[in-house]
Amino acid sequence: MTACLPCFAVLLHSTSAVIESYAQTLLPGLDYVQGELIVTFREQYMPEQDQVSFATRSFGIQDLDTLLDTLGCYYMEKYLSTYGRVKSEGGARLERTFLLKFRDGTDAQAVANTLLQLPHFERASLNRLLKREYGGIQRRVPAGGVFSQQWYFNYETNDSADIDAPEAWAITGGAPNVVIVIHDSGTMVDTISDSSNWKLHSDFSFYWTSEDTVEAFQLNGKDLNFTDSAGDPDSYQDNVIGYNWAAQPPLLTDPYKLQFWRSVPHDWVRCSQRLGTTCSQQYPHGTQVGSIAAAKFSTTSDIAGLAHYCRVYYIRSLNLGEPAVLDNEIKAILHAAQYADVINMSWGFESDEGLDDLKDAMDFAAADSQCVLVSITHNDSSSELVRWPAAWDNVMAVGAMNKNRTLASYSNYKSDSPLVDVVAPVDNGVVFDSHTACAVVCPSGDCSQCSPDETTTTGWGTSFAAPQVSGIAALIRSRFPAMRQDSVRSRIKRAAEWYWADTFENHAKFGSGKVNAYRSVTEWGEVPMAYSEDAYGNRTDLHRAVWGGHRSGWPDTLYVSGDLFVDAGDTLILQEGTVVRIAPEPIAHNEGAPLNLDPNRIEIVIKGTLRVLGEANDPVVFESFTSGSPTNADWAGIRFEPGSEGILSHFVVRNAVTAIKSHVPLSIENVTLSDGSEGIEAHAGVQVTTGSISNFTAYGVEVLKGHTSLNGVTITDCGMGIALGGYQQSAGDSTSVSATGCTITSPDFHGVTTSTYDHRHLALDGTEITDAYYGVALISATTADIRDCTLRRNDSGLLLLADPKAIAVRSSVIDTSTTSGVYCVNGGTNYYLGGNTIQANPVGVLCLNASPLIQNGNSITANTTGIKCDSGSSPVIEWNTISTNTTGVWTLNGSNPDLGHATGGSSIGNNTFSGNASYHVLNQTVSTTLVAENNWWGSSSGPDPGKISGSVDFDPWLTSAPGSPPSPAPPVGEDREEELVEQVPDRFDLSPGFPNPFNPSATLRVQVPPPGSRVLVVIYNVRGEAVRTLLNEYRNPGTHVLTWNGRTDAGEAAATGVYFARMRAPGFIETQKIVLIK
Amino acid sequence: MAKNMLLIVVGALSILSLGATSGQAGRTSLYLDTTALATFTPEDPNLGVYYMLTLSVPPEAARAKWVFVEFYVDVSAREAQDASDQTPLLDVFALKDKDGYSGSLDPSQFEPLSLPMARPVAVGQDRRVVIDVTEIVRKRATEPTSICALLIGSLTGPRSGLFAIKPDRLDQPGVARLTFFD
Repeated sequence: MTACLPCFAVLLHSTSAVIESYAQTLLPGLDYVQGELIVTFREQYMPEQDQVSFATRSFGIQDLDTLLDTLGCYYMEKYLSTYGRVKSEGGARLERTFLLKFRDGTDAQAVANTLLQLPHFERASLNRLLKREYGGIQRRVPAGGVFSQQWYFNYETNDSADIDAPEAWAITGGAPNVVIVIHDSGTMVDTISDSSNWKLHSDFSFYWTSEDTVEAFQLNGKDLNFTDSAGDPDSYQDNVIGYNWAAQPPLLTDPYKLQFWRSVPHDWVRCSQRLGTTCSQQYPHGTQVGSIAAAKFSTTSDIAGLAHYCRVYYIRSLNLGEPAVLDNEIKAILHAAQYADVINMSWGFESDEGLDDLKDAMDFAAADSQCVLVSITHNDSSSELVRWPAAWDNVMAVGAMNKNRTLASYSNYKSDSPLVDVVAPVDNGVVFDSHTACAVVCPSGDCSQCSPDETTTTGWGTSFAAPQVSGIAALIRSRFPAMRQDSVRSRIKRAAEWYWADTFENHAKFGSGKVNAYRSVTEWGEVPMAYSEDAYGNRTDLHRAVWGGHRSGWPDTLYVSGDLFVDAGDTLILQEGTVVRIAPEPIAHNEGAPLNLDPNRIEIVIKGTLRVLGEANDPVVFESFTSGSPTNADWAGIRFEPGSEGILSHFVVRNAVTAIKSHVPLSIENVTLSDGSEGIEAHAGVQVTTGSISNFTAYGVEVLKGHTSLNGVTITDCGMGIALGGYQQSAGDSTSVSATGCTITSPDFHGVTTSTYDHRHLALDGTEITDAYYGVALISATTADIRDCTLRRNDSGLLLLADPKAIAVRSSVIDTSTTSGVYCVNGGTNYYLGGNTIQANPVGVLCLNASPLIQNGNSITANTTGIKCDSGSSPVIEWNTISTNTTGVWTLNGSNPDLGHATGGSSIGNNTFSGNASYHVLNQTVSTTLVAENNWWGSSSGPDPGKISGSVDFDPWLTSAPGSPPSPAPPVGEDREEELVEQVPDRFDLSPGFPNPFNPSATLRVQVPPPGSRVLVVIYNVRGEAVRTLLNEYRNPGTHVLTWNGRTDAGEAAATGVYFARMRAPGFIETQKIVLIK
Repeated sequence: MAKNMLLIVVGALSILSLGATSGQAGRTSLYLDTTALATFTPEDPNLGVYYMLTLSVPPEAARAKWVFVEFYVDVSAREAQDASDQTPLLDVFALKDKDGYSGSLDPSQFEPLSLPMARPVAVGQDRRVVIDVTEIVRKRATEPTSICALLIGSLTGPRSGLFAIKPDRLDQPGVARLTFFD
């Protein structure tokens, strides 16, 4: 480009005059560097690269070069040499910006004014001296610095006040390829073991090292024994730990050699190690700030830095006691931008006047170099000021908050503008690097005040809030290396916690809220798919992986902050001891809503395979945590999708809405589920062997489809213990549950209940249900087999409502109910009670418009009323002992029970009445004579007339006790059936009859696979006529042995001959030939 | 995702009877205040007082799997010829039309249901009564203009028991609690 200077002659004359007049004012104490300007060409006048000669101080624009020479310019330096490669507006401007130096006595302001009259320059600024102030104040604390004092990382007293650093470290501690520039007061050297050499500060695991080799040097007569990455004890130093842009030699011919070591405060002697007697007055601010961001990890001997595997790189741009120089600040930022992923600036300017070029440098660092820039609002206790650079858009402005989540009194904000991005916890003091103690304890240099026990320093100020954010940014970049800087900043803000009312003032104070390291690195609300772990603690690829088991290199804690999917084809194995920690999420925290928890947000979804392999003393634990948690039902739970697989053993699930929801058959052993809405929601067969299910507000187990079996499971304090059904199913669907050896205690409503829909089957064996409203509530269209159970202290032990199908209650104890032992409503003889002990209830069996079979050895004793028949009830009562009640049998309101007929009738009597206090039989159905023949009344002479009330036909009576009653048997069919305890078959099958030929009976084995099914087994003769239906009901999965006694459905003996047993089930037909001989 | 908690949205028809709500995942309770309860004294001296309890039925109740109404009663037995009934029957019927109800016990006023809601209650104080009202509540939830009200007491004859509903025996103020299982 060729410059054009149309008015050059005029300007030259006038400029000379101006310079002369201002020359008299160049005095020390001005707020700029004498004789220095920073100028920016307009784009169209920018000289071509190859025209510029720094040696001859020429832009290749003749008139301009002449003018500058006339004005005394002796030095030119270009800030950016990228030549059109930058994209940012600020960076593009810096490509056109130069530092110009003029001879002594030059009035730089006058020169600037002159140059700005030329068309070439859009900007000409003085190289200002700036009042740059650090934002931290240090003081001593009495105890040694240990991790427990780092409350801002992990505050046991109030979890909501910390930033969840340990939780984040479970994900990553940072990666060494991520560099945090600490643009501050430099760092300190250390002497630990070798008094002859200096070392770099031992509290940092990694320093960033350039690839430059520089000449080694000595400091106070000692070698600076920095780590030599090449391992060669030569006189050259391979590691460059930082730069000091404040100390400028006259010409920067070799900045590495001349300046790298100046980032180390070379006059400092660490007296806390008692190696010296004088202390440095070097300002420890930079070391303290850096230690918060990235000190070496330690939880015992010292503090831990947040991004402790990341490397730090120290930049100084001013010396203590000196003003900052704009030119240095620009160069420091541009230099840092070459290497930094994050630049921490715990300092600020009171004004942005004259900082346009620095702003451009920041713009370049952020937009072109993709550095995350972090700075502080500062400590002026002002509600009207956020200092610069924090106030600029591309710099993260960090304030400080207290432990009680109020804004720190010193933390600035601007009440009319939301300039604050986030806050971090500082309160009135955070601990940091212990090795800075000396500088704080005895800044005067008098080390007699030092004590080995007083090695911890603490401090307050926004300075120590910013490195928390910088550390988080470094952790994010460790996990997501390709993430853009603006996305990192957005992520930090998005993951912030919000605790305050949603007002403009609060957003002005707190920005997006308190930062949270864990949320930031786990993609709060998204899916953290990290799994395998690299050398630096970063994990990738969650799939096909194994966790826990205390195996070397494998963490035992899996953190889940968003929905976690195990996809089809993948397998997640959780070994013993694994803890899966679920972090419930807030609702719309960025919108300022209170920190509420949405239980629907986080779920573990299994589409592939989940193997949970805990051990008895070392289970796998799924639990939630967050501020104030765990709380009931604060995450969704584990869901098995159709097609998935699960093998679950020895594990614990806490605080899930639905601990386990499964659409596939599952096998579960030794499980503890607690605190939610539902323990298990089964949409397919679930087998649970040994477990504890407690404190679920809705259901312990909800069975919606398929066959669920519970063996040795304890269900306590749930809304309802076991619930079958609840929605209408398609034709052919069946639902059943069996509970063997289980205990159901203290449900809010019923122990076991069924819905009103068809195809429900319940089997309870050896199960105890106590303190429920209804122990078991069986509602219409349900079959049930209840045997050897105990129903105790319920309002009513058993409700049989609305004609359920084939209910058999056998050999069970039903006692101490509040109202009734058994309450039968609207049912017929398909209610069967046999061999039960029903005692100590206000009423043992209450029939309301119901006619159950009460037979075969029931012991109905010590009730107020043994059997009460109300509202047209006509139960069949035989072979029972009805004794020691106040009233044995009470009938009223049109009821007419059959207590025994000598001929005809349904009951043959054989009941034993004895010891009933008021009446054996009280008949208040006035128009009906109650028939109670063939019973034993405790006397060969018949009943005591005083114990009979109303019209009762008790003659004939037994003259002796009736003997042992028949064994309780199922009410349906006369052929026997057994269920074998074998391995559950995987298909339907009908075995050949045995023996064959047979007489008098033969057995047939029927196999039913999960989830169970309705099965039809019919005997046909050779003419194809159905002779006998052996089975036409739902059957549980398993092997069932049917015995045919050689009789027809009419009860007649079948003829000798060939028969065919045919089994039908959904999708299955099988026939076996069987021969009856006589 | 986990199932949504059943949210209670009380319609205009049930405003008078709304008390507090208590929501837990999978189960929600709604407390009915005293305005939901009306007391009737029958002309037949054989009958004790009986009650009309108006239930608040939100539309979401249509998908509830179970709905229970709970309240507490004092129960006393009446003298009988040969034996006093220690487990008198508490009749429960659903009214077809609450607004048109004048206190009559004519069965034509009652909604025919497939499952009876009556149940025995032991003589004594502070007896907890749980009635399964799933059927009627589901039915009402799909008829937004209808009213869901129960008649409660000895309604079908001398059942040898007297019942007195006791308010404020629940864990929150109210005469009765509706619990919806999702």
